[in-house]
Amino acid sequence: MSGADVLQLLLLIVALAITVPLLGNYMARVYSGQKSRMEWLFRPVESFIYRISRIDSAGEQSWRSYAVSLLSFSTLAMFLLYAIERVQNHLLLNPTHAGAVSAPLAWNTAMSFLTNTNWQNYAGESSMSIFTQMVGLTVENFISAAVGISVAIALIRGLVRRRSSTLGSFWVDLTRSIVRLLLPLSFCAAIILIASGVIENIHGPTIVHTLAGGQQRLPSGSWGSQEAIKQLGTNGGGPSQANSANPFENPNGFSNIFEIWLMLAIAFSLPWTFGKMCGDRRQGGAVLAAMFVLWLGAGISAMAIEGAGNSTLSKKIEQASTSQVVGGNLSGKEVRFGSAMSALFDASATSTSTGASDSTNDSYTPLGGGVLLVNMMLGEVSPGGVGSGLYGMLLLALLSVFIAGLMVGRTPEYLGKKIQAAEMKLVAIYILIVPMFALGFAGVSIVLPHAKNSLRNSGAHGLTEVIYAFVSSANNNGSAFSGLHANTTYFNVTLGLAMGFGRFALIVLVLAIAGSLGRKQRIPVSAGTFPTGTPLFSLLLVGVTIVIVGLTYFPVLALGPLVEHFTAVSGR
Amino acid sequence: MQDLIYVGLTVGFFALIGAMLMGCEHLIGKQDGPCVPGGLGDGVNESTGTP
Repeated sequence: MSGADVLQLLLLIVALAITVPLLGNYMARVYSGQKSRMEWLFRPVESFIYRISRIDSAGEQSWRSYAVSLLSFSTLAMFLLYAIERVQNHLLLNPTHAGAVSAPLAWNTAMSFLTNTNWQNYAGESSMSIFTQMVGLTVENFISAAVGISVAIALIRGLVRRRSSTLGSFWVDLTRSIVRLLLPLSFCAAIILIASGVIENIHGPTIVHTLAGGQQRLPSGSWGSQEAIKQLGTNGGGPSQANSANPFENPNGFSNIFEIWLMLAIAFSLPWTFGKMCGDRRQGGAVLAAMFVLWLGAGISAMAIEGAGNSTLSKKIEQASTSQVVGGNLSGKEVRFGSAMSALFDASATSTSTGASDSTNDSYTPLGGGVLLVNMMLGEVSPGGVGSGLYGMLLLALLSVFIAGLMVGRTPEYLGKKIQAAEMKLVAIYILIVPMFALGFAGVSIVLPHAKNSLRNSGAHGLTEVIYAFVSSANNNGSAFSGLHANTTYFNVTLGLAMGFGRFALIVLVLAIAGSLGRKQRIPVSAGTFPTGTPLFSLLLVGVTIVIVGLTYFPVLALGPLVEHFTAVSGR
Repeated sequence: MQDLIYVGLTVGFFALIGAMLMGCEHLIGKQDGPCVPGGLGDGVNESTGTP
């Protein structure tokens, strides 16, 4: 890790420190129904949407009605995207004459983008038409991000409101998220990305003649606009197969660090919004601190491990970075970013459920790849996906106060809401669902012969590839370890189901908990109340996240990345 | 035919999630009933405020 890498990390932290309060306060105003300075622009657009959709903007929904609206909307969005993929060869903007996407792949892709996972079993530049990319996938990027934020806001309302049977309106939250937050930010981000060199056009591929006399086909498309929401909405599905390693998506060091900031901006701002909406910034600060510690720990670890180089190479080979030489483990990485910043990008992408990648995860050192895997195994809460990271961490906060209550005999309560048996049962189910699907499907896959045939590596590395695929899908991350040929009917269906349950089953549980908490009376703070706005609580939250969630996966970590690391170190 | 299979899979998936929603409602609804002595609650029905 060179001085330039450390400086870039510090710049990123400063940028986050400046933007998190601004964005956090802004989102609190948006979801509290307060007017913004851009009211003249937002209000007519929203009014138009409410009018044509017959939405009562002042209406409120119970948790059940909120969940039913969300699920109905998602079902419709799923069918629509599936249909677009299946008939894209008959639609507009198809200069490459891409054929219809096969049924299993179309289903997997529709589920993937619907759930904010953006796992891609296809090469975007050759399999999807520009119409599918723009109208199908990019629109889904906005929708899935907005759905995640809406659920987080509903949970905040459940925690904050007293004796309320409603959590707000899903339709209003969804509309506000897109119109007032995601669209304006994505527009600005797209302009910056295009200015830094990301391509944006709707014509067909360009054929160029190389100096050696050959021909090269340069891909085309509206990549700048897709790249913006891809990172901002923690989606991760890029227009090209190489994702952010492609110079048309991520051309230079500036765009690289800007894209990392985009991934983190909303996810880190939402705890601030939470603090603001509950009227106690310390509550939001405690959650934010826990997320930040986990993200920074993972980021620095990945940077240090990948920056140190490959331990299996001879010590005579100088691998350290200098001011003139890019060093570290450069296998599968872009020299224009360097090993450490590539590692920070991918560590942030796996911490935020974005799943984007500017390097090949499969080529990371075993421990470096292990860091990426652990980020996802923590349940995507550091800071996690937009919305999903916050609601995941708030559920872990409920678990933390419950455990603390058991240890010291205090009443389990959070923000004055008593945590009872029903909420704890729902939290327990929440924590078990993702490992159940991730490990269950991975376990089945390593014994089925036709599934094993999809593996390009055997032994510990092969196991890591399968585990990574299902952990990534069930946690709605979407990054791939490579080395696994997953475009088969078996993997398209099982990975799709893992994504679906990892998203919608959890959302239903979160909304149920929000509904249950919203109906409760707030009890006054007493000597028996465990303070939840303190550094001690942040520490407890970090501990619970690592011990309760992370350790679920320890056996597979031991059999995968750890075995591979020790085997490599011992020279076998 | 293949499309029908995947449409069916989608409908089945969301039906399962819907069933889970009903289960959650049942679980929360039970909490609204009379509190069980010795349980986590303090004997007060949180929704109605009555013992």
